[in-house]
Amino acid sequence: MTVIPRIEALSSRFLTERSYELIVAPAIADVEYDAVNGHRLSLAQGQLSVLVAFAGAAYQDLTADSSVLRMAGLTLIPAFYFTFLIYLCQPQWAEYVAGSFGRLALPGALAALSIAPVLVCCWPERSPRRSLQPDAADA
Amino acid sequence: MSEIRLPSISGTESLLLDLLEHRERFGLELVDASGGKVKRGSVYVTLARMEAKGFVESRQEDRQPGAIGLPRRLYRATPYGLKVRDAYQLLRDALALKPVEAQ
Repeated sequence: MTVIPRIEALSSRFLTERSYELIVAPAIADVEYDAVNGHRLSLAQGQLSVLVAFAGAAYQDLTADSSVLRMAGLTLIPAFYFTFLIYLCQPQWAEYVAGSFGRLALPGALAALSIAPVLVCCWPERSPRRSLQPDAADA
Repeated sequence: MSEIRLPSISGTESLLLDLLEHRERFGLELVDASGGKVKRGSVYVTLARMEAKGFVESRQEDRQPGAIGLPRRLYRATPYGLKVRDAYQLLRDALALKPVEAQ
C-alpha cells in the first residue's frame, strides 16, 4: 500500500468530509495531475505535501470543537496516574530519570505513550464519505 | 449592546486574495504565482480557512468523460473577501503613518 491510499484511509477515519474535500482531496489531485502532466515534483515531495495537508486538516478538525481538550484530558490522566505510581513505588528510579533527563522527562514520556491509544479510541467519529468522482456524485 | 466581531485576515490570505482577484485559479497555480510565499502543503489549509470565513469560493473543475484521478478545485475571491482585504490595507496604511504625517 503506497502513501496516498494510506492517507485516504486515515482521512476516512480521522477527518470530516468537509476537510477531506477541501484540503486533502485537492492535494492528492495535484499529485495525480503532476504525474499525468510532467513531474514538477518528485513523487516523494508530492506525497510529503499530501501528508502536510492531512496534518493541517486534522489539526483544523481537532481545534474546531472541544475534542482537543477532551483528548488532552484523557492523555494526561494516565500520565499523571503512572507518574505518581512510579514515584510511590520506585522513588530512586524516578529520581534517577529526573536527575538524568529533567523533571518533566518521566511525565512527558508517559504522556507520549498515552497519546496513541487516545487518538485511536477517542477521536470523534466521522460519517462515511461519498465519492468525489463527479460521475458517482451525480448518480 | 451586542459586540461586533471583526473579520481577521493574515498576510498570506491577503496575498491569495490578490492572486484570485481577477480570475479563478487552481491551488498549484497559486503556489507558483506566490513566488514561494505559499507552500504546496499548506495552501489548501489556508484556502479552506478562507472559504470558512467567506473570503473565497471554490468548485470542482469541469472534467472530460473518462478522466482519471480526483478532480482539482478552482478558487475565486468573493466580493466580501476583497472588501475585507481592502479595509485591512487601509488600516495598515493608516497605522504605518508617523504621528507627524498623520496630522
